[in-house]
Amino acid sequence: MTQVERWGLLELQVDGPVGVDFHHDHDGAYVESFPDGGRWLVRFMPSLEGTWHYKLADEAHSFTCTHSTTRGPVRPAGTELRRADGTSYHPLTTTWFGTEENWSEACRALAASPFDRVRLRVPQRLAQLDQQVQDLLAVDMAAEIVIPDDRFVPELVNRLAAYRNVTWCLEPTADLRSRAEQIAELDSGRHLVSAHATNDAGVPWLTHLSVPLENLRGVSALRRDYRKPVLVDACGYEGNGSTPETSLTPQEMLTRIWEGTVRGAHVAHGEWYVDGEDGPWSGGGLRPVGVVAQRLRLLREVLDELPDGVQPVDDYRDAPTLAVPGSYYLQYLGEHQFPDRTFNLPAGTYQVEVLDVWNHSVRRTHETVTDSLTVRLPGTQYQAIQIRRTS
Amino acid sequence: MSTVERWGLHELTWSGPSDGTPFADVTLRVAYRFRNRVVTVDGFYDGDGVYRARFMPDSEGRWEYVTSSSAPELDGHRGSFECTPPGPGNHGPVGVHGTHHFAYADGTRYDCVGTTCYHWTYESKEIQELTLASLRTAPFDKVRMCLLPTEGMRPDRLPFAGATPGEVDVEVFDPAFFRHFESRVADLLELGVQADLILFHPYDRGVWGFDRMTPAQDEAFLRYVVARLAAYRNVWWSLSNEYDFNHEKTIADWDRLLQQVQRFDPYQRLRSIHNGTKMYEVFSPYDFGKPWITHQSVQHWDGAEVAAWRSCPKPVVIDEIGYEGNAGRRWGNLTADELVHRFWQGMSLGGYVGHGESFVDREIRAWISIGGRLYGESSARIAFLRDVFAGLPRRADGDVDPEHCVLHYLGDRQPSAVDLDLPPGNPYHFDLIDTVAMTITALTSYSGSCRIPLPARPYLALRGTR
Repeated sequence: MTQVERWGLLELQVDGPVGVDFHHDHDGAYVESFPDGGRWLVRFMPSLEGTWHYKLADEAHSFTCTHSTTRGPVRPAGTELRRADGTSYHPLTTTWFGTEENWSEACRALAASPFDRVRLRVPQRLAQLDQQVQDLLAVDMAAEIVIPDDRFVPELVNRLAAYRNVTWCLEPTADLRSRAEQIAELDSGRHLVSAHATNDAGVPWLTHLSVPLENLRGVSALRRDYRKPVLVDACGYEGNGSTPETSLTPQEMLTRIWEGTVRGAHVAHGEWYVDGEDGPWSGGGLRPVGVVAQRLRLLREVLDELPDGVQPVDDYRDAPTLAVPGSYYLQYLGEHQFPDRTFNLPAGTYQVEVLDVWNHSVRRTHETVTDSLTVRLPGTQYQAIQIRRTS
Repeated sequence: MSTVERWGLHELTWSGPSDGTPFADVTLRVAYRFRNRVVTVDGFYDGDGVYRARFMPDSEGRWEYVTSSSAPELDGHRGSFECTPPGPGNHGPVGVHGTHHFAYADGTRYDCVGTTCYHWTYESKEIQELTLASLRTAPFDKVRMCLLPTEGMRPDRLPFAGATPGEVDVEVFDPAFFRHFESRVADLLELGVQADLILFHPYDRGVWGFDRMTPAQDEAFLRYVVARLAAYRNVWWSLSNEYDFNHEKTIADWDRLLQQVQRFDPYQRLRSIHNGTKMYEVFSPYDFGKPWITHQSVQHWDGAEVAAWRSCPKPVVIDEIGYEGNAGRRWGNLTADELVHRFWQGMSLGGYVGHGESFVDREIRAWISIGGRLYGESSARIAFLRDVFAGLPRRADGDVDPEHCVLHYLGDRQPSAVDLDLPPGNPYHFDLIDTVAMTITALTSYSGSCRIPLPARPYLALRGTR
């Protein structure tokens, strides 16, 4: 019998346009075929291990879904994102709205970058987008598909929904609800769906917020008001473009990403240096050439080590703080030059790190605490403090 | 397989735990799936160990469902049903159409001519039946009605357990109250009337304490109400009447409560909050620009203000513009002429206006409080107005199409003629509408800059079509 691993890809060649129901004892899904060159394909990503049944041209078929070797697609869980296997997910996203000719080089640059998720615009040929998503899957990166209008929708979703690494982002239009519901109906992978800059993200057919936001302090209110994951798609671009949004200094760009992240959002990177021969990275250049993409490696390391269940806490009103109270704290001080910071902690021993976010350096100490801990700081901007209980 | 028509009501029932406080202790969710789209609703405890879930399917075809619950006996129930085409008269729920108008889900225009009967469901069976009979022939397609009693009422049953002030447990609901209330919502649905449900009001003043529950109690109440009622396609949510007269709550509280209703409601029924007014000294409508508001539910006594409020890109519904009647309060003693004048004024500016009657010296006192019988003269004239507005040529966004129609309401003035500057092109065929006599008289055709002679009496309108 055919075997497909959980969250892997089953691909079937069929005779033409069909809708196929897949059944499992504890789940079910519906998949429509799509044209690919001269043939029609059905793609399906099984969500559960065990036997799946389906019918093609009145003939019964089945396949076995085996144990997963991956963590699966991304799911919303309250204000967090999680992988389908329940593990936490802290993507670091960049924006690349490019074309076919630069893709292979850009993809190599992505694979070598601290990013693990990229916002892509739908190109003219959906087969090209298909290849991009596959290339990203091969390097364990996620693709956010920015869908400008509904021209592409049935084929786009039928073609890509079975890839575990996609999410959908709609440009808001008057018929947003019906478009989002159409995608949900066709999307056998049940991927995240958002609408960039919609004026109401509270509706249940949008899984999370996709916002442009220049003042990242606003993240906290968005999380409070909507109780959904907050993804800041555009906080500006590091670069030397001709608009205020595309000419942020690297310091400003980096601090925006840190500020939003420590307030509990996922903040996308963008870069817009116009003087390279291949144009700005986020406009489809060959590679990021700015400073921020490099300095985000420190954030990548921090995100990779975040303990499960970390949340923004209100205990330190003058500085955003992520915490698992009592055992882990990550505080970001932004443009402020604090001489020191005091934390009230349970008695124990702690590893304390002062992260110089801009200079990409870490000063690590081990402290024994009875009730409070004062962390000395260099008195310069862009510092973060990470405290981890060791016993 | 069981069937439910599109936009109809699918109800599931199970037995589960009855010990403790099931309202608070037991969570029950049902995920309904059409193809891959999943709509998740809250189930609810209906007393005596009975749990239910209600769902309105919006796509024709096979729906499957599965339950998840903190109680093992309610968890993991699966099943399916077939959603069939809507039956006669079922146009689906009402939603916003274009920017400032409404339509049913099947595209049919919704006229939005409402009335108010705050506590009609709390009255005797006879009066409730009379209210329904009155609505059957009245022109109204929406009723504003309260869930909670006022400080002066002493009903047998309330949304909460207990019926004596000071002895009500606001953390325990009374399923029998809700079953009755829902049957009345269903009666309105049968009549094609929207139920604009007022979830809180300030006329408690601490007597029952429902105006000053804790945030957790408010949230549990809203969650329970939405679980029970949201699946009825004629339900709208009005978070509060005269919200600003409740000094126990802040704007931040109302923000939060509106957000909660949005979060609990899988269908996104129309949702607003209605201001009080102390005309003309105090007017503090909620900020309708906030994203969780679908339309502007306004109390104001001047229909001409619609023009200004249309700058907010949401429909304007003046749910209270004063009432026809002879009450001792200024909000409730307008003449029919005055009330209908305000209707014409607000509606010809692209808004919507609500009716109410407050006669205090008749057999049943008074329509806005308890329903019963309509005594006034305004409702017949509003029926006439509704027909006129329903017949106007409109653009795709719902606004009257100036290429094909001009409507001039001349108000309470008595001009002998008006000068109009008509859009260029073919002439418009004019009719004279007498909003009091309810007559439409054909005039002649006019084009460009023109002078139209008039009979010099108030409450007339000119309608030109081409």
